[in-house]
Amino acid sequence: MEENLEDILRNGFLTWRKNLNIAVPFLLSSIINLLLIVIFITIIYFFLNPFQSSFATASYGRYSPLSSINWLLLLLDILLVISFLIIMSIISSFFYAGAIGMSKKAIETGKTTLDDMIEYGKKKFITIFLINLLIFIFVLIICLILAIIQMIFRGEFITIFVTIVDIVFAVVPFAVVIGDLGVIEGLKKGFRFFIDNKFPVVLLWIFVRYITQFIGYIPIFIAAIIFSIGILFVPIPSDISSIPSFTSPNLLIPLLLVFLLTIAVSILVSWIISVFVISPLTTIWWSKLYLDGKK
Amino acid sequence: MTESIEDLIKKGYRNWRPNLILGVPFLLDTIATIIIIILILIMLYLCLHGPVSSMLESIYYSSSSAFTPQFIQKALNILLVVVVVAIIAKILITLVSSFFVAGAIGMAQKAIETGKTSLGDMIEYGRGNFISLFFANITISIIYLSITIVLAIVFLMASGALIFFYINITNVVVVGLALLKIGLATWILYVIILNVVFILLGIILIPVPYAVVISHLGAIDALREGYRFFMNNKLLIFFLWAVISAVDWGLGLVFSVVISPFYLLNFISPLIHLIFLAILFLLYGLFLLLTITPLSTVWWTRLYLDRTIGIKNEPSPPEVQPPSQEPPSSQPEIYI
Repeated sequence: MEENLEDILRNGFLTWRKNLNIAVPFLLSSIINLLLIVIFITIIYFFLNPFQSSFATASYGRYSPLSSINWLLLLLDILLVISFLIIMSIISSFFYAGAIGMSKKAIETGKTTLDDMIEYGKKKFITIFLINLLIFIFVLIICLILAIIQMIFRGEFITIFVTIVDIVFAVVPFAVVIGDLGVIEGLKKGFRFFIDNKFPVVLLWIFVRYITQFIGYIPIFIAAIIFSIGILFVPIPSDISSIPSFTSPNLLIPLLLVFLLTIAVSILVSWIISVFVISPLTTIWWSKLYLDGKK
Repeated sequence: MTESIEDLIKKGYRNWRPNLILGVPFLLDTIATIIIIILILIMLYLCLHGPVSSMLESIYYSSSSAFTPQFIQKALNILLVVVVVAIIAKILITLVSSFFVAGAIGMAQKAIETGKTSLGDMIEYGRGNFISLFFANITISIIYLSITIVLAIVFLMASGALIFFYINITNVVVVGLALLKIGLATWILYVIILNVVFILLGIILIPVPYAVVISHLGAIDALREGYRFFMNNKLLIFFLWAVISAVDWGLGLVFSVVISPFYLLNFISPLIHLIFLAILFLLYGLFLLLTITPLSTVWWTRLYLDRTIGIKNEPSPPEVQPPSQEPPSSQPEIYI
């Protein structure tokens, strides 16, 4: 290990400051995924809604809602959900591979461009996607077994298992993109890297977890301030004179607006923090750790 | 050359491992605190049992209103006694824990510098530093208290000023709603700001006890030095804080798995399960007190020592590095 963790954190921070465009892949990824979700919900709701007919008939009380579901449409919807999830995962993989490639370039040459994103994304998105899929299926199967154990014994089995998998396979995507490896070699290499560098990997994982948690308090703080100041500006209509008129829209609509504004602002702030600060910084730190670690 | 966080954690662990006796001051501190609390409660009971029961009797048996001026006078006296006793208890507990924490930090310093420590070090360092640490702790308490009070006054005045907007309105319901919304808004802001300030202060003031014991500073100098130390080592202090929190969290997860087989006792009797759980939680608390608290004290001591006066005459660790690695890198530096 040439650099210690502090140097990795400090220099990674400097690299991020000089290359703020590493946020671009995360930005594009979340925007495209959001658009996809909107399209997807529109399709299901307007064209392929399996419950549409059942609501109409159920309201007459003659048929039970279950018997009148259009099963073919339901099947179609399930297939659609799965294919959409796969598409979204592929898109995320593309941009994630691009972000790792960009941070590799930024660390090695000090400067990176969006061409690097496209280059690395194109080269590695299938591998990243397949690895994510493999790990996901593996975790899902074990978690299903653990869920049964957890129901009987009430221990935190699932959290422990997911944490261990998260730590052990933390560097796998970085091994794939930076080391230019395939699926199996990437998994092997990532696992070996963990075995050779257990201590730094665990420490960096802890640091990232707690810094994320710490920064996560910022949206809560902002939300509370907006909520309390918003309440102050809710006008109290003068036509209120008795208890039943508390439900008057003059009072309820501004309150609802304040509430929605609070939620919207806190979601927006945490999204901005995640896309522009947390994700690029952690990507750079992990890339740096992988580049500096024992091979 | 300062230590990296990896070395700090590894070497701190190696310092702590042969010196499990480092848990003793914390154990003694907890026992002493519990004894003080029990004594104070017994004293309060003995002092107030008579007056309070006579007051309750006067409420029961008087036909007219019980809240006469004498009654209120008595109630205020009792309140005064409770407040005075609470302050005395706080001072006593702070005094005792200052002694043991100073002792523990001294023991940790001894363990780091010589590799071995004993309870004699605890008494020596505790005796030498507990007064300064006590005044530092009391100053910190006063800082917290004054922030709470000043913020409360500011927010009360702000809400009072806002209520003036509704001074011309005669509609009772509107005024009530206005009070409700102003109260809610200022209360949320107050709680949030207080929490943020306290969390930040809690992290900023971590080095203060170490400044008292290791740098032999007085209360005010230690506060200043602790703040300066925090400002110079923000990243490392946050990192160590995160590591200690993560160890805590991980042990909690493991503990939840350890106690999970006892859930089967529920099928025999829920009461037995509860008793077992209580015993296990007590043991777990004891385990944390005897392992994690001293270990984190060693880590903080190491961090402070390393970044201020440096770790002197540290014995070489038992696992000696293979010599084939060392000479080529160190010799050129010597001869150049």
